[in-house]
Amino acid sequence: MLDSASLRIAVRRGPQTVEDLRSTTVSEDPVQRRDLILLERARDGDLDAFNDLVACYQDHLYALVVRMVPDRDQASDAVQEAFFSAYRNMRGFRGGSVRSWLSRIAVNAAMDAQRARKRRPVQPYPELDDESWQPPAPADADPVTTALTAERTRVLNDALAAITDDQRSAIVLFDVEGYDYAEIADMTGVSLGTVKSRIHRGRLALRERLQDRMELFRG
Amino acid sequence: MADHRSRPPRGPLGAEEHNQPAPPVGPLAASRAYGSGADGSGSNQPTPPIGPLAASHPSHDLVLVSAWASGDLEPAARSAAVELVDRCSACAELASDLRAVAAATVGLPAARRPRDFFLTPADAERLRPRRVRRILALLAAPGAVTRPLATGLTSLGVAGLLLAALPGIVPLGGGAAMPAGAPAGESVSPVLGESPAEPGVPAEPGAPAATGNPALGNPSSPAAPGRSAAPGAPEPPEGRDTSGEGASQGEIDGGSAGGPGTGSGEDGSVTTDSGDADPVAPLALADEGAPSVLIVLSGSFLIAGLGLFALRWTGRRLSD
Repeated sequence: MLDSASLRIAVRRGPQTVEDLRSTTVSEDPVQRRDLILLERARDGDLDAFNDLVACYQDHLYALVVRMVPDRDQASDAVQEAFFSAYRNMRGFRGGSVRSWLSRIAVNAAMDAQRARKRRPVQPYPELDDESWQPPAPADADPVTTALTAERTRVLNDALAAITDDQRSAIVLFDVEGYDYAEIADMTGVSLGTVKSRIHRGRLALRERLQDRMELFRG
Repeated sequence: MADHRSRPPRGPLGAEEHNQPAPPVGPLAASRAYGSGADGSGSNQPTPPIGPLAASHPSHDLVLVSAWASGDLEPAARSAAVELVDRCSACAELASDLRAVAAATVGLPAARRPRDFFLTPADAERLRPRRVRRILALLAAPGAVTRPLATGLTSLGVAGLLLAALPGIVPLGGGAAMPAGAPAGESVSPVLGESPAEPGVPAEPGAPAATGNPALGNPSSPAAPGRSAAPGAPEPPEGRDTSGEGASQGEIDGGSAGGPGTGSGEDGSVTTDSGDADPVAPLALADEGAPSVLIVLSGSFLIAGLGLFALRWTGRRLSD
């Protein structure tokens, strides 16, 4: 685990003391080490360092949040708010993975956006009318396959938007983002059993809504 | 897209990881001569075939099937799910569909962000933690001294209040009861600001022990006749409840008796007309019902300790 003092040593000594860097508690994962150094510089007031972190993770956070908040404008606002919150509270970072820390903040922002959406409902999934939502087809892609893929993505997104927020969040975090049950429980503040239940019931709900289009998904 | 995709496949896509047999896929399963689960509970008791395939499927435990398809079941529940899927073609088809849906969900393309989310210098200036937040963050730090300090102050406060609440040990505004059967001369506690009966005036034999201040002004108490025997002292109005109003009674007594020096004459109350305090007055309470020093201190400690806890909690909430 990282503490601030050891990181400061790593930052100040520079690359000529590689052995000393390895002897510190800074993670040996180069990505995580880069993140920690950027975060430490941002803590010292370097806005460019924080924006480097933004550049590294804005795609990931947006992809995460837009699945949980099926409205692109609200998802954008939630991601921006997540970065604001991260900047405001970066001194509260207690070590570990910066990516997980940012993801947790983004999940909280998305859940806040979900609650706000319940209070002020909007048209769900306006991005379905946006052509940019469809994945770009490879140059050599079969037109039929491309059309099927696009149709499958569309109906699946439609079904995801129709299930409950809790189920959708759990499924997105597990299936799309690849977090394990314990990480999801930590992020969403519920028990492990609740996470599993939401995923299992959410899949049942998805299948029920896809009942008439299941031929798109079967072998 | 996120780098999670480099993780090994799991649950929904790989039941073999969990040593589970792959469920039969719909069309194939439908051609098998299965019976349906008669009990509908998904229990691991084998159920005999009872007719059409999946006749009782709606009553089956579909969440169990979903959990089995995800590979999340313990061995005991797994056998029940396998039994269910083996005997009900609809359950088998459901499990197959759930796996297909999970696989499709994993393969959803990443959404393209519509804009950048960089912070501007103005944003940074606006979001920079202010002094109050910094102080709260310091107070809420894991190793801060505020935690033991808050615990100590709260403990002192609670202990002090408990001590003050014990009767007969510590002075209280409400007065502590004297032990029953105590001599009448001792029944007037100096703590309560009552001087003993006037020198030379013996206490009435057989007078019951006073029970604190309320007895002082209660003309109906057995000791009252002796104390209110001043000449010309008017009787309180009929039916007037003067219990617990010692000061009022003292005023009545003193005013009517006109006794010089003391405000309450034979009652021996604390204050005098000239403002001179009784020798025991420093230990006494200025007003009936006023809190003692111990109570005030304990209350202050308790409030300070709880306040520190609240500040720590607030600081932690703000830093999360």
